[in-house]
Amino acid sequence: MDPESTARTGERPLPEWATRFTDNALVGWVVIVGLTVFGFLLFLPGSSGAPPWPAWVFAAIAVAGIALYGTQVYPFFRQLERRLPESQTQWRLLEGKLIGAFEELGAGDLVRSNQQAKALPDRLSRALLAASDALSALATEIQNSSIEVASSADEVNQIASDLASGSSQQAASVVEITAAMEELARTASQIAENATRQAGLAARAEANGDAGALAVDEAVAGVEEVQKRITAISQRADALGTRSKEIYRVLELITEIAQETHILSLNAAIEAVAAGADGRRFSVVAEEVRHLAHRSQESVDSVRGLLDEFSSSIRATIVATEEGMKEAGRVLERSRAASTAITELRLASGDTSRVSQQISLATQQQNAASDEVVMTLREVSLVVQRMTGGLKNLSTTADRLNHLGLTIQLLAQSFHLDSPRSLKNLVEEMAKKLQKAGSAELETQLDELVQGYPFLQMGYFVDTTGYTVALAYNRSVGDGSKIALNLREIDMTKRPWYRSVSREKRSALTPPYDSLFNGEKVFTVASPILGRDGQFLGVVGVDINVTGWTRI
Amino acid sequence: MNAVAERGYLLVRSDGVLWGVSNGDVRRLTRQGLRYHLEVGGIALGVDEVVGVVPELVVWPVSSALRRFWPEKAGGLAVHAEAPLVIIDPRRLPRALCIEGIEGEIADGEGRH
Amino acid sequence: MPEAGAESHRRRGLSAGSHLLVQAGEYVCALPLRSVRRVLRALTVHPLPGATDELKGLAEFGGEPLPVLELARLVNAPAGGKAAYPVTIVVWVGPQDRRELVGLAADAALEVAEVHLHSVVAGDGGFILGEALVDGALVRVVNLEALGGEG
Repeated sequence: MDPESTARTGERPLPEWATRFTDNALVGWVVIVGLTVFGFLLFLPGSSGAPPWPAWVFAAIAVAGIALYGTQVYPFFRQLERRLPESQTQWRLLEGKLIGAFEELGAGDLVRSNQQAKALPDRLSRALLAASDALSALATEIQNSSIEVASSADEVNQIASDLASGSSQQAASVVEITAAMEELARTASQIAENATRQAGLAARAEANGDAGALAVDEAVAGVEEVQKRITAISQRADALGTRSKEIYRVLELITEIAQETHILSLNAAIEAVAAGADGRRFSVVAEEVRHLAHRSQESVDSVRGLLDEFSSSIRATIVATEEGMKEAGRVLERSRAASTAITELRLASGDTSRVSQQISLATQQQNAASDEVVMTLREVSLVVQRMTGGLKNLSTTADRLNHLGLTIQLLAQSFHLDSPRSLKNLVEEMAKKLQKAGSAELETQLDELVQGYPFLQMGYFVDTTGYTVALAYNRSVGDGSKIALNLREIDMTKRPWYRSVSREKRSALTPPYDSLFNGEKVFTVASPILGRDGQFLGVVGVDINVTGWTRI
Repeated sequence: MNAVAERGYLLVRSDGVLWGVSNGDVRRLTRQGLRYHLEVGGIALGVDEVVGVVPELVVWPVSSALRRFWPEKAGGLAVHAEAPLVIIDPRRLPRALCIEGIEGEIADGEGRH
Repeated sequence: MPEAGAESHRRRGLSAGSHLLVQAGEYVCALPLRSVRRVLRALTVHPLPGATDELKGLAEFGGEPLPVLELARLVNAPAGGKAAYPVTIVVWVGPQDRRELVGLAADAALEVAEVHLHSVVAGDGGFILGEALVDGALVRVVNLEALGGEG
C-alpha cells in the first residue's frame, strides 16, 4: 500500500480488502506460483520426451518462491497487519497537523504555520520550517525590494519632475534666446547697413579732409607771413620807441636849458633892478629872454605832449603788435593743431571707412551665423519639448513603478511574518498589548503605539458592535481630532477589513482606498483581539498612507 | 662878512653832518667799534667818520638868522670842498655829538676846562 | 587898494614895486626884487641837527656857508605837488644895516612882476607882509626884513 496515495485521498477511508495485507500477500504468492507452473507446463514437450530445462527452472523458482514466502514474507506481513491500525491513527494525527501547517502557510500566516510545524516530526518540522523561513525571507526580500523600487521610483519621479521643470525653463530660455538672436540678427542687419553708410560718409570725410588740410596749410602759411610782418612792425615800433626816448632826453635837455634860461632871465632882471636906471634897458632884454625861455618851455611842453601821444601810440602799437604776435602765434598754433587734427581725422576717416566695411562684412557674417543659431535653437527647442514629453512619460512610469512597488509590498505584507517589518505581525503585537490593557487605558496605550510608528496614519480599536472605542492619530499628520470624533460615530461592521477579520479571526490587509480620515489613499491592516477563551472582542486596525508606506 | 682863519682843524662826520674842531681842542681820538670817540674839553664826543685834517679853514660866525632857527651853539661855519661845516665850540659842545651819560654835564651849555 | 592903506604900508616901511614871484607849496609868494641876490637851481643842503622845521640846513653859495629856509614852512603854505624845478633864492634879510644872506627853498621861480599891496595880514606869524592880486591871482608878499635878527 502506498501511504502517499492514502494521504492524497484526503479524508476518504481505505476499502476493507485493502487493509488485509496478509491475505493480499497470499494472493500474491498464489499468483506467482501459478505463473511459474504455467510457465513449466508451457515449456513441457509432448509425452514423448523428457521435459526441457526451462521447465525445470520454472519449477525450481516455484519451489523457492513457496519456501521464501512461507519463511519471510508471510510473517512480516502478518506482523505489519497487526501494527497497521495504530499507524493509521498516528498518520491521521500527523496528517491533520501537516494540513493545518500548510493551511496556515497557504493563508500566508507563517508564524502560525511555524507554530504548527513545531508539532510535526522532527525532519518534517525542520523541512517545513525551512520552507517557511525561505518563504519568509522571500517575502521580506520582496518587501525590501518593493520599498527599494518605490523609493527609486520616487527619486526617479523627483528627478524627472526636476528635469521637467528644468526643461520647461530651458525651453523658455531657448525661446527667449531665439527671440534675442532674431533681434540680434535684425540689429546686425541695421549695423551692417549703418556701417556701409558710415563707410561712405568716412570716405567723403577723408576727401573733405584732404581739401581741408590743403586749406589749413595755406592758412598756416598766411599766418606765418602775417607773423613775420607783425614782427617787422614790432621791431620798427621798438625802434620808434627808442627814438622817442632819445627825443624825450633831448626835450629834457631843452627843458633844462629853458629853465636855466628862465632862471638866468630872472637873475638878469635882478641885476637890472640892482643897476637902477642903467639897468632898465637890460631888464627889457632879460624879460625878452624870460619870454623866450617861457616859449621854449611851452614849445617843449607842446612837443612833449605830441611826443606823449606819439609814444602812447607807439606803445599801443607795440602792445597791439605784441597782442597780434601772440594772436598770430595762437592762430598759427591752432592752425597747426587744426592741420594735425585734420590729418588725424583723415587717417581716422580712412580707418573708419575700412573698419566700417569690416563691420559691415562681419555683421553680415554675424547675421548668417545668427540665422544658423536661430535654426539650431529651434531644433534645440524641439528636442527640449521632446525631452519634456519624455520626462513626463518617465514621471508617469515612475508613478506606475511606485504603484507597482506598493502592490508588491501589499502582496508581501499579505504574509504574516515574524518580523518587525511585517505589518500583520505589528498589528497582532499591538492587539496583544491592547488585550492586556484595561478599557480606561486602552486609548492611551493605542496612542503610544501609533506615535511609535511614523508611517502609521492612525490606529483604532473597534469592538464587536462595530463602533470605534479607541482611536489615535499620528500627530505628525496634523490635528485630526474633529474628524476622529466623526469616525467614532460610523458603524464599521460593513467595512471590508472588519468583516474579514471578524469572519476569519486572523489579520487582514486591504488594498488602498480613500481614507475616511482625510480622503487620502491608505491601506488598512487589521487584526482580531481575542479573549482568553478565544472569544472575539473586536478589531484593532491601523491605516498606512500610501505616500509614506516606504518608511515601513 | 667876518671871517677868521685858524690853523689846523679835524673834520669829522656824524649823521651826515660835517663838523670841524680845532686840533688844539682835541685831547684824544679813539676808535670804539665802528665809531670814533674824541675828547674835547674833557667831554667825549661820538662821530661816525673821521674825514681828515685840514691845515686851515675860513670860519664865518653864525648869523643871527641861522641862530633864530638853530638853537645849537657853534664856534662858526666854514666850507670845505664845497660842503658847509660847523665849527665846534669846545666850551659849548653840540648835544648831537655828546655821548650818552655825560649829556647832563653840559646841560647848562658849559663844557669843562 | 585904498590910498590910505598904501600910505599905511609906506609908513610901516612897506612899498610896492618889482617882486619876484615864486611857488611855495600851494602859495605864490612875492619877494621884493631889491632883496633878491640870486636865483639858483636848488642848492644841495646839509641838514643840521636840532634845527627847527623852517631851517632846511646849510648850503654853499659862492664859497660861503648859507643857511637855507623852507619858504613854504615860513608862510605856512599847504604842501603842493612835487616840484619839477625847485630853486633856491638867495635873499638879503634883516634890517638894512645888518643884512644877512639867507637861502629860501621854493618849488619854482615864476616871474618878475609889479605888486601893489591891497591888504595887510597882521598877526599871522610875522613873515607875510600882505596879500596882492597879480593878473587876478592871489600872491603873498614875504616880509624879508622880519626874517633877520633874533625875531
